[in-house]
Amino acid sequence: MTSSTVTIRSATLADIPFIVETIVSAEKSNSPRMGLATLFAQSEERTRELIAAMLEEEVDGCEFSVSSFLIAEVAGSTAAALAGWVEGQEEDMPSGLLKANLIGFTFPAVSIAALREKGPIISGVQIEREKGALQIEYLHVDPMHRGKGLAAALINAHIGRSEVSKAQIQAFADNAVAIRLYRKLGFEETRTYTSTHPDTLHYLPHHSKILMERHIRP
Amino acid sequence: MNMQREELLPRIRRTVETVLGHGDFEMRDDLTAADVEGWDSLTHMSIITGLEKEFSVKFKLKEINKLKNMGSLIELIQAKLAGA
Repeated sequence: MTSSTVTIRSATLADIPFIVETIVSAEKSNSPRMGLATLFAQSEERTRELIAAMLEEEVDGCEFSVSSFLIAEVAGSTAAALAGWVEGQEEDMPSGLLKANLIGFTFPAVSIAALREKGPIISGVQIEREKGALQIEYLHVDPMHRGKGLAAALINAHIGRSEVSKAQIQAFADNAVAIRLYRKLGFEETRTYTSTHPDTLHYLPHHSKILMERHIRP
Repeated sequence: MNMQREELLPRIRRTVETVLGHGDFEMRDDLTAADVEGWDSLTHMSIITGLEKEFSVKFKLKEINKLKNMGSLIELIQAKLAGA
């Protein structure tokens, strides 16, 4: 497959099913545990519906924003997706609060109560995003299209479209394939965040997350 | 209902304190979540739902996505209670 058959474009509402798949796949990070389902006491099937509902709200500036996603197409077929946004640019609001508002608006009250109980489990791997930095999140490449350089193409496309000086990306510490790719693209590990709660692995793919950064321009 | 700001403040403060487990913040208009220890994406959901319960109101997503600080939160609750 030549690179000439690869097209990178902005996502539209029609891409929501693929973006849901992207978010679920990235949340699981090669494990059976999806934090959005386990922490919110919802089935995976119901969580997929709730993720779609959040995306349909068309809120900009966070990882549940259709407008944050770029799509890679190979010969006209959707093959990969990746979110990217500049932190704090939208309404001057931290993306974490936009995300929290979306979840609070979409998920049932019982889920919010469940999360409140489980807060101590995940607080150790909550990474504060740097205002003004490009945030790269939720990468997924369809298994049929792996090994074609789509992940790198999407990351470079987000960086090329932004005008910021720094990009940040987070990965679960055991996701060696992703971390290797990010290193290859110029990202360096800057800090490891670890949850020491004994129940962490009941809810999340791994107990540690790595923050990686790349300086784009001075 | 035209509830005065002075009546709202203690109730908002109490709701936030209940979620965060501390009252180490001033109820000033320019207070933001970033100024308050523990007011993060996790606790934010509980604060918003707690306020809806406290004042028997329902916020729209667009309304809470525009909240800049405590001042705009107080204004929003006042508007909701006034039926705006």
